Amino acid sequence: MVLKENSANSKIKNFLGLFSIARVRNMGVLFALIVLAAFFSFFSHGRFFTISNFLTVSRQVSLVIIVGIGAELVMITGNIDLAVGSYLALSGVLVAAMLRYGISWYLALIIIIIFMGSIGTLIGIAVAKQKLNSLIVTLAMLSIASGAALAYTGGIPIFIKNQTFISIGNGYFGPIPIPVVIAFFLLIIGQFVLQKTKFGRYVYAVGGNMKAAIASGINADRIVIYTFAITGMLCGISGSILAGRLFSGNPTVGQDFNLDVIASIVIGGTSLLGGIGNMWGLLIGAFLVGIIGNGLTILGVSTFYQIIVKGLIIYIAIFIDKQTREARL
Amino acid sequence: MNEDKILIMKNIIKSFPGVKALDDVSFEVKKGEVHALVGENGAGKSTLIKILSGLYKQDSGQIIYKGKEIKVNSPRQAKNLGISTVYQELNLCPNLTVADNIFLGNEKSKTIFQYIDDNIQINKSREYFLYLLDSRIDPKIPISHLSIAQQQIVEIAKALSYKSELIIMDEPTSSLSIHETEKLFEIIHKLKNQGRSVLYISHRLEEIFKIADTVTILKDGKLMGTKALKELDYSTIVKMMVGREIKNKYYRTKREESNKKQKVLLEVKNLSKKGLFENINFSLNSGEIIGFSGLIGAGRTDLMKALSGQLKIDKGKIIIKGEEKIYNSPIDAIRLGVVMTSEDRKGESLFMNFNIRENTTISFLNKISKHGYILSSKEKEFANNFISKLNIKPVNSERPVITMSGGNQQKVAIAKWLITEPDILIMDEPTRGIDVGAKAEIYKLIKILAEQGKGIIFVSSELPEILLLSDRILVMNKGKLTGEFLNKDVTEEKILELAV
Repeated sequence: MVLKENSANSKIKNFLGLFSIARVRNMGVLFALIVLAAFFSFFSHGRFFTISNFLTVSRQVSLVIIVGIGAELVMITGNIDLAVGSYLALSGVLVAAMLRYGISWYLALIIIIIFMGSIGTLIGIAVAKQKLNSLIVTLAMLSIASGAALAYTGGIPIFIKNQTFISIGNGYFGPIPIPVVIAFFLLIIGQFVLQKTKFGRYVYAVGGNMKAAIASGINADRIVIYTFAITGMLCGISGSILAGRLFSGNPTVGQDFNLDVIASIVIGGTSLLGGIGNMWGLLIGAFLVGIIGNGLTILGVSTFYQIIVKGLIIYIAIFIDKQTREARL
Repeated sequence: MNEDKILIMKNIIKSFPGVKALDDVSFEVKKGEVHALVGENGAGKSTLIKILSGLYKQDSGQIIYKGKEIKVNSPRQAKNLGISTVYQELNLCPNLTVADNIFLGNEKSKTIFQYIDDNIQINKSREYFLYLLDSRIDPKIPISHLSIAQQQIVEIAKALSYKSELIIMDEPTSSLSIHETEKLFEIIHKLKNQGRSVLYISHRLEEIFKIADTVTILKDGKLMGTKALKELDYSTIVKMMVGREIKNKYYRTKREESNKKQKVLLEVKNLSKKGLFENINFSLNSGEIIGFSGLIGAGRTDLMKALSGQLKIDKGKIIIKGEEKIYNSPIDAIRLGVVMTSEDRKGESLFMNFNIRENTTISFLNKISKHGYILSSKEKEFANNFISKLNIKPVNSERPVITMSGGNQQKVAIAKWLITEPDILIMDEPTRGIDVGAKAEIYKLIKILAEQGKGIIFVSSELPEILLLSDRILVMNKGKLTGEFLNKDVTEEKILELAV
């Protein structure tokens, strides 16, 4: 039964398969993205459709995407993580504090990733073993983490002087901002794991039918815990990048972040009920949410109206997605 | 001449993308008759019911009810017209009382504040139960306290509250024991005597012969014929349903004392779980098929769950291939070679968000992965192998499971386990909701598996199935093992005696 899996052709085909358009679950949102981009380009007389603007948007969106990879896994299993915004603040603050105490940047990074991963693990245990509802648990954690960051700093940002950190957040790798490069690689890895590995298959299985997953011999609890742990770690990374960009660990960041992450994932075609979704949807959703804010800013629309418009467009996108999804089923 | 016909369906056509579900179907139901609707999965039965109950609209064709042409635009309208449907998956709210459920959507309410008059509802419910249905259900208790059989009676009472003259029953006995089925038939007779008609859909042909007056047979969306029951026999109906003869006699002849050494695969000693079963003792040899009979609630499913690692036992021993084993998870059970297909395949066996390949290989990924990476060509190979072994349709492994017929879905659920090369295969209601053609295939499969040396335990509430397949028959009653027979020594009556 030994099959030679190593012909170069099949490997390339497999790799490209990760990118196939067919993976994009809802053409509706892709369409909306293109329409919006066209709309903004037109009304901004070209200011929107420039490379530098595109890079700006990408830099902003990259944080959402990095965290979104983990949140996507959580949501495919049928759970939700509402605390990601506060994790961002907490990570930034802790990393800044560590840097100020003289801990080297790579050590600080490793520590924060492990620390945030542990928090995620605790959440995962609460959801999986104690059978607590993830909505409520992560909502509670939102307050705890955000409160911890505020309490520790007294509400004041902790400044970062470490050049490496600052350049991670603000620097470029060639023409591309470093956060975008990081996000891109993590996204590819995320999609690969989701589609091609045992773990990814189990994530879909647990989300699709938890009872059947357990009966099929899957350790469903472990899978759930891993998804929360991964999300925690990715928040640590994202929070560090953000802190670098802001030159400080800021306890008040991340308040819109929750909505942006969840909206990106849902718009991207992931069902809140679990079992369906993939990383390309996250990418498209994140960009849709991102360009709404970016485009409106360029057009000079005040932030207050931006929030309203954002909400409306998100509603429309989800609505369209639902219609196209039902037609398919 | 049309006054005695409560329902006439004329030239009904209904298509969905890619499939013509109903192709010019016409038939009539008389007042006060039990009209059976039979056909394989995909024949068009459920589409027909959904049209009658207002969930679908036919593309063309007429529905004439009580002499007038009607258009059924919604379930509510169907009910108001007097057409009620009792579905296989009951549509009751477990947290509400019986009376509340009966009058749900149809409450006896007064004044603009819609104040619900509980007393009227409760009394009316009592009336239905005692006088019309001869049942002692208390309208004031929550639905969750009732058995499935009783819940079904509540659904029928609901139909009565709409003064329904046409009651459609979709696979009503799939969750009922033999005794409860008899009770249901009594109720159906009562409904007939009240002048109501019953449109009865079932895969269980033996029941059709007990209860129906007229039979309409559908095949691939087309009408094969409508005949009075007395003009039909079993093989004729099957031939019309399936278009070919089904050899249904899968006899288990005396097993030859083969040169293969008969291994004792499983020994169960004094197995107990509080409240579910106690002191269960039996053994299973390789190549043997054991059938567990008994009423619903007798503890068979729980016993099987314990054997397959899904339920922790309180006392007793499980000995697999000579060694005592203690295991509490499906993962361990699979490793020991014990697997189980659930009676609720959609709920507990299959993943509706996956295709055939993903469903088939989900328990086998360890063997086709390298460092966590799934070897996709190996995966496809295994999946296709089992698709052809079990004759699963569609043959394309990438098709979603959600679109498959019940019989093929069940085969996928079985394939999932076979791929792990188990020694002991436990099947809980292996042919529930599956048509005659697919049933025969599954029986054949079970027989082949036994011949390959596997040990098979199956639970079934269909006595003919038990008698057809089993080498030995074990009967459970209220958690205890009340009887064990060799197939040749047993009769239906003997089993029933010990089951009740």
